[in-house]
Amino acid sequence: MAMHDLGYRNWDEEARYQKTSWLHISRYGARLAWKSLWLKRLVLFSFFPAVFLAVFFFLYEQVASWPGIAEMLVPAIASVEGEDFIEVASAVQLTREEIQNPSEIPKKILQTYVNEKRPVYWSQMVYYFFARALGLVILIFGLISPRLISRDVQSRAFLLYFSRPITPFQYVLGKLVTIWLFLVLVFTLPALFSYLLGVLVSPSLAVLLSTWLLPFRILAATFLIALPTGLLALCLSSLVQEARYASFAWFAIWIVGYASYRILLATQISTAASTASLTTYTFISIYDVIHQNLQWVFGLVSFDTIKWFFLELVAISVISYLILMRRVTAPIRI
Amino acid sequence: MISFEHVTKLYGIVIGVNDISLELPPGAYGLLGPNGSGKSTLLNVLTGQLRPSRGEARLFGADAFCDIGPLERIGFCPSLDILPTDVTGLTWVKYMVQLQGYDEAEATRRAHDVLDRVELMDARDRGMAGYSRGMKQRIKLAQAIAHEPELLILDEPFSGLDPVARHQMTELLSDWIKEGKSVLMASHILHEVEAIADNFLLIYGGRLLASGATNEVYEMLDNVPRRIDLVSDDATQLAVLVQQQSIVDAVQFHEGGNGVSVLTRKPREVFQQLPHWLKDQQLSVREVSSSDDSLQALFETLMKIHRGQI
Amino acid sequence: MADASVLPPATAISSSVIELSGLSKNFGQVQALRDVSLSVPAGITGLLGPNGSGKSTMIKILLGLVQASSGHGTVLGRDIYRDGKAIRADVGFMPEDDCYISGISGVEMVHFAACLNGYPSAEALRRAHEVLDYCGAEEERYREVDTYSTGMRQKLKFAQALVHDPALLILDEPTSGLDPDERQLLLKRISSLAEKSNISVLISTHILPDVQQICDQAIVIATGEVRRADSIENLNRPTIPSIEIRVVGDVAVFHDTVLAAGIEVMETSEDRFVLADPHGSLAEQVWPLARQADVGIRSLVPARTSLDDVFLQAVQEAQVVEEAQVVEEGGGNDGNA
Repeated sequence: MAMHDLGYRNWDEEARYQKTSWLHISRYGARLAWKSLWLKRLVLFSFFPAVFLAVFFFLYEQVASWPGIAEMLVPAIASVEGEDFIEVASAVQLTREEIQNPSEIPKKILQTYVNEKRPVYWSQMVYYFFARALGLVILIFGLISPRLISRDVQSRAFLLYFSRPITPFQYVLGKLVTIWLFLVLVFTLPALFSYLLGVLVSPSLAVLLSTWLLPFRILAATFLIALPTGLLALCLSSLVQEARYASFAWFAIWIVGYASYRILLATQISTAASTASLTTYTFISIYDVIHQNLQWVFGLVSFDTIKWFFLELVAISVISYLILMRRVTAPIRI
Repeated sequence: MISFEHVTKLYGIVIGVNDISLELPPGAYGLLGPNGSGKSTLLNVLTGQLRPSRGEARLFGADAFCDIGPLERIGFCPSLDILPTDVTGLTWVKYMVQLQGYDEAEATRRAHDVLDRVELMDARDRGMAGYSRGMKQRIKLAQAIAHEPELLILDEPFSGLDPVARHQMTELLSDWIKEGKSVLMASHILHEVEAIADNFLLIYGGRLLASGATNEVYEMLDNVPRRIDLVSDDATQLAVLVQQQSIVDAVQFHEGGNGVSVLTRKPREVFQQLPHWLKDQQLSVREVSSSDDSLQALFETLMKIHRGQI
Repeated sequence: MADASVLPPATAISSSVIELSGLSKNFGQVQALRDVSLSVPAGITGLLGPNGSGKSTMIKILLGLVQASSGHGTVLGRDIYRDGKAIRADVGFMPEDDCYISGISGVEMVHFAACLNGYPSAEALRRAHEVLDYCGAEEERYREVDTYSTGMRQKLKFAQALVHDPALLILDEPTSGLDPDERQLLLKRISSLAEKSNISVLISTHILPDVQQICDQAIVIATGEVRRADSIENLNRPTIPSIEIRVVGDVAVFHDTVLAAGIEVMETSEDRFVLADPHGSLAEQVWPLARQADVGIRSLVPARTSLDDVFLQAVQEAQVVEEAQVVEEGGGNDGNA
């Protein structure tokens, strides 16, 4: 009788996935986070804004072809938009049939307007989507991130991580991807999907030519939200051992910033100070700073207007990153 | 000095100590048992921090839970890391002495004395966050002896200490005992306690398995089955000689044939008789050893009996 | 005595697992390691030293986590400055502190550890179970690590160090907090790994009986310098050959008998005697003496310097050297230190 499989055996397996092994940190992190019932509810709830976005795209494309709508909308838009609309309408070329059947003309004008303004309206709508969705992002990050690093601080897991061929940077990246996974799942993917729906539902695929920039803007917006908020969340998580302090700090930063900004705005208006100085208070509220940056990403304002707000996001990212790395590498320094 | 009468402590459904009765006159005691065996519970009941679920625990004749009298005569050195980090050593010891009822001047004097004794004078003005493990243990000891108690109670005094610090602690405690004072020391590392205590209490699962003086304990060891190894160049003849003796149960050859192992239920008698057995034979026996010659072995044997394996 | 002796040369089959030469590390003013030179052969090596002696710094340098200030070194043939990652891929580290990854079960933690090393997931899980079998973790491997006792956490720490089949294990206080029987099991496991599975082990510990029991050689570090580096056999060898004898019976009578026979008594306490044996023939002489004194002999072994004594001596020497240096430096500045 031969004895095999007794005791300790050496292992001949090859460590093939060394370069991407840090992704396992994300996998485990996401799994652990997903155990939370509230997160599941929140993720489900977060799909509603995306539904609205999809409905908007659908309606936008279909509006011109609905009977009776064009006659009502054309004068309405004319009075709101003024010169802008007149220009678009004047440029419409009418065919012989259309002059003979004047009832089709409003429809055509509306369709032309819709086509001309598509990039603008679509961008604007996606911007609103992201801007509204920001609140949900803050909630979701606030649910997942406090425990991500503070638990490792408490259980001194760093020694176990860093005694393996993993660098502190890869560790942080793994944790960031954990949070970003949810961000992408709940916002980027639905936004991209809605865009695709819009394209499919629109009159022709030529739409892609005028709106091809939008998916890239969506990705840029994701990155713009993900990086500073993700790094800030992890930075707070790394500073404490008890997750609830990080959680409190996280929500406090957003809520206090948001409320203070609006209170200061209100007092400014009531004391009739110059409108130019209004924007100096915006720095307190990261929420509004991100809104400003999103407006630039979706082409609604120029970079020059928001360059200080952009710089603020860069500063938040860099400072959070430095603090985070310092905390994480503490056990391996002396 | 200490008396427990059928003391049981339950934490909800978890058992802390299970019907322990003992009477300890002044002396140096080692309370030995693995982690979770009830050592800390026993000490906490003794010092009045816990009330027994059943039975009575008396310290210097009084119930420490209700009466602070006995607490003035003891010094307690807990196992937990209880030191505030941003306070200096001197401040803390002084504060602890003041809590014992001394005024500030007296407390300062005593604090200095005791810090000198534990060799922490150089570090007395440093924040305790920067203290090493050994220093932390010594300062806890300092506050326990500053008011010159009759009984010093220590919970895991050697845990985490490096050999140098352990040596220092052993010396401090030995000196303390030489002054005629009492010690009750709880630990799960047997050989560290052996050097200091002359009496042992073995506890497991909240139950007191055995107690006695060192020599009683070794005597107990001398009467349980043991294996004695003899290294000899004349192994075969030695084996023949030895197996003839009635107190020897079995004889085994060593691997390599350089000696024999003798199995017996009466090791003490074998030790005593060995020189005489060798008298008439000119056999060389170069080494005698018995691997189970320690408190650890006793503990293991007791555990076996406890579980019904012997 | 202050010079570190190089350990016995490695055999032709296995080259040394760790080679350090002239390694120094300072943090600002503090000199953590000073000119450390070692050659650690395969087998089990004990690393001894008081707290603050530079042991943990050295371990971090060996793992490539901290860069030394000067000097050279290789671990398993890889440079400690450049190949830190490669070193960590082949070395298993068991930290001293109580550390774990919370929120997951034991087997998942060991699996996670193996995946972080880059092994394919399913294979890593199989291997995790295998290693946990070896470490004696039964059903508890399916429970969350947060609910584990200290002993079980130690087992888990050991398992995660072993899971990727390292060529070198670095264990920091592996038996601390363990019950005596668990301690023995772990020590036996370590011995068996070194003997049968070709894994070298470096154990950093304060528990000298452990070192005595399983190590082949030991290194003593104090105040950042290597004070002793030798095989256990050599360290144990007393300066004067002697035997240790423990008797059963009237110790005083035996003492007198021995003195009368002209034998030098080097040490005595209770029933224990250490007798000088310059010619190596004392073992035969004691039997008639025992008969004469009518005592039994409980133990008769060649005396050895306990590692405790070796350690204390080394540390005391280090302190003397350090004090001398402080006096030297302080000689220039009046009123300082």
